[in-house]
Amino acid sequence: MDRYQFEDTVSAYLDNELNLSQRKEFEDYLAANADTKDFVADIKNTIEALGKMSKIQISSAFMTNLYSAIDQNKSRAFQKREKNKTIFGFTPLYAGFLSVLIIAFIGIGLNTITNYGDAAPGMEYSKQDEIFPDPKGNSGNINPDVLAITESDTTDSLTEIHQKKYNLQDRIQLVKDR
Amino acid sequence: MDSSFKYSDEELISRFQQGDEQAYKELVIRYRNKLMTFVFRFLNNYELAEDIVQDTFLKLYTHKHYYRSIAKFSTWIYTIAGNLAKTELRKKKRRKVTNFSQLGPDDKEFEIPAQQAEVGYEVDSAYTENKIQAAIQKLPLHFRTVIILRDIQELSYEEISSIVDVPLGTVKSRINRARLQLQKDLKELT
Repeated sequence: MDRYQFEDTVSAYLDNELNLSQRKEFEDYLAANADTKDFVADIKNTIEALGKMSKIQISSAFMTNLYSAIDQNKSRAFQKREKNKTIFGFTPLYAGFLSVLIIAFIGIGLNTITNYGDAAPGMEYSKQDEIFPDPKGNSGNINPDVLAITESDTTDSLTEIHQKKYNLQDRIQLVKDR
Repeated sequence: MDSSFKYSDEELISRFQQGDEQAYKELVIRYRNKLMTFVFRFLNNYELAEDIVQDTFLKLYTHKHYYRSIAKFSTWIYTIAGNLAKTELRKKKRRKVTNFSQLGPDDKEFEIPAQQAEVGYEVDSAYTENKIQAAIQKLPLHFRTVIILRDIQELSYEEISSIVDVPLGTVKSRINRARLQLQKDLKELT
């Protein structure tokens, strides 16, 4: 054993970590070198001095502070959870916007369908108005069939119109007539 | 762990993981002063050390399920405290560098408050203790951690190896070199 090996194993010797042969080798080196005994004693004193250092006590307010920190942490975690809450993967704000948008789409869609349904028969009526104009001069979406039922002389009127329309005898002039 | 306790640390953490808050309180009571001593000797600042210990127990509370029963509870809690203390020391170092770099030629010099004035504990020989504490502060971080854990906290080499996550041989070597360094610095006292 040389000086370096001796210094490397001094702690292991003092901590009783060497096996028998290593211990014997170490003690042989100690016996052969007088100054090494003081060195080992110094290291031993250092270890003892460290061990005698006072144990530090925590302050009296520690437990109160700790539990208050835990409570703060809990409330922060709760707020974070609330903030990160999602509805079908959307944040409450976006989910709200989306809901309003969907409702608006449905509303507009229904309104469009209803208007389309009303507009189709209306057009029929207007065509009928052209063919069968109201004798009283009323215009608009008045169904002439309904009118025919409500007015008693409608059948006669229709016959007259029909007769007028197809009574072209006065207007047709034959070559022979000339 | 003290064998006089009714429940072992591992039993307590297991109970706490199942929701027993009283088990948490018991663990805090068992470890608060041990961790305080470790962190204070490491940082040499009482208030900062207490904040670190509080953070350690807060982490224990919020991350209780991170503990696995394959490790000893003591090594786990010391690892958390040690990591937090090292992080704090790095932050402190960065702050110090920033402050000095921002110091103009007309600025006053820093007045570093005496740490011992804040410490509310009695010592047999304040002078000796201050000298040892100063010598510990001069050690590199990896020496400082192991020497505190071994010679002040009196943990086994195996426990220290688990806490600092280095092989047993490296731990032994670091402890030896830290002792030699301290012995050199404290020669006048011994």
